[in-house]
Amino acid sequence: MNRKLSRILAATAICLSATALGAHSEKEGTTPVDGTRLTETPEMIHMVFDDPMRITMVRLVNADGAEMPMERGTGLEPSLEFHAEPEPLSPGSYTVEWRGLASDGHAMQGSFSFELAE
Amino acid sequence: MLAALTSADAVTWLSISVKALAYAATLSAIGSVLVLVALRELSEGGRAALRLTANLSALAAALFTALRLPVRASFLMGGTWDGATDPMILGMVADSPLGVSVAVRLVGLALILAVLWRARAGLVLALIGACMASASFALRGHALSEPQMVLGALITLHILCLAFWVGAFAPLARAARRDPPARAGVLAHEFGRRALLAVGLVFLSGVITLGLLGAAKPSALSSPYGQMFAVKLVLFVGVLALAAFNKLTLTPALLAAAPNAGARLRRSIGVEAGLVAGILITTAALTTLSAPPSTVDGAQTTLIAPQNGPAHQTFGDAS
Repeated sequence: MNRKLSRILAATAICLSATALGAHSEKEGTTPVDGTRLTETPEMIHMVFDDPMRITMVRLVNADGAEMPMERGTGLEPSLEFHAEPEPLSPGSYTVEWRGLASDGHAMQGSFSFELAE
Repeated sequence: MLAALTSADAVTWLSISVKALAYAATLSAIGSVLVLVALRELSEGGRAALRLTANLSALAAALFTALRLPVRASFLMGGTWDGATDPMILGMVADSPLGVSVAVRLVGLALILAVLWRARAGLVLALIGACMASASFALRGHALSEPQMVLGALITLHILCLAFWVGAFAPLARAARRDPPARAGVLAHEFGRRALLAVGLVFLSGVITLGLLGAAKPSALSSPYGQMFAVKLVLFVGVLALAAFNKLTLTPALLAAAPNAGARLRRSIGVEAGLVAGILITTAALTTLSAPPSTVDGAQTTLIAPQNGPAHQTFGDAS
């Protein structure tokens, strides 16, 4: 009985340690860089993914929460990259909010911000 | 953890509620079938009541499971009601692993309805349905990570064993209320013997699954997922303590026809069911608001742009 139990515990320990070794490093990023300060309207809002993602909703909002017009360059198809073109912006703080469906079925959301100086 | 909960929007809360109700009803439907098969000491009246419980639970589970599709579609469109009814987004969700999982579960739940057919074939069909409904939990989310087959088998086993436990609450409480104490004691004793194996497998399959997902490490406690999981574990320990009390104290008291033993067992089962409800709500919240620490940057899709900086990214309706 004790031998059986120690075998089960050993197998569990091997599984746990093997998984820890298999962990990946985090890589996330966007254009513009989150928190960056720009002097002119960015030509493109750009996001790159490591696995195809369907961006179902994306919006650019100013500090008051008002939505700014933006033309989507990527549709609803699964894609490694997403880009959209904002119209000229006034100085101020802006946030890009997005939601999407990952290829493994996860619904995801995220946001990043930038500031446009005078 | 609290930050994740307080920043959740209305659709996320709705998603957690629907998911928790779907969990509870599905476990009750699966568990009722398993108890019918595994506990021979059930009285005829107990069997009839359990068949009814299985059916009502299966119908409720089908409703809440199907509701997950429009709730997910709404989330994807920014939490709007328009999103919940958008045919294109609904189609996208139906084509995703969540859609497959929902379809398999609905077929499984439909088969469970055969439990009303009082023939051996009815019970066999219901048992197949129970296995399908359990397996549906392994067809989406983190269960699709590698090693997929191992994770799938572990999650299915975890659900089957947990369901057996949940499914026994109602018949045990009924027996404690209506059957003679000695008869109820024999049933509780039989359940206690079977539950030992089930509880062991729930724990072992859960621990190995967590390990394979890379979340079984002390540093995970710094993440919302780890913190919510710790809450779940505390509740689980409470359930274990109550189950041990039932087995070691209340079941012998019932067998000896001690006064008030039935009423005490019913109260204990009530508290146990409350703790399990807490576990299900916590699970629904943790799979909706967070992800195992290693999968956030590994198995999941992440934003990558080597020349750019980090962006805030979270899971909205992640199971």
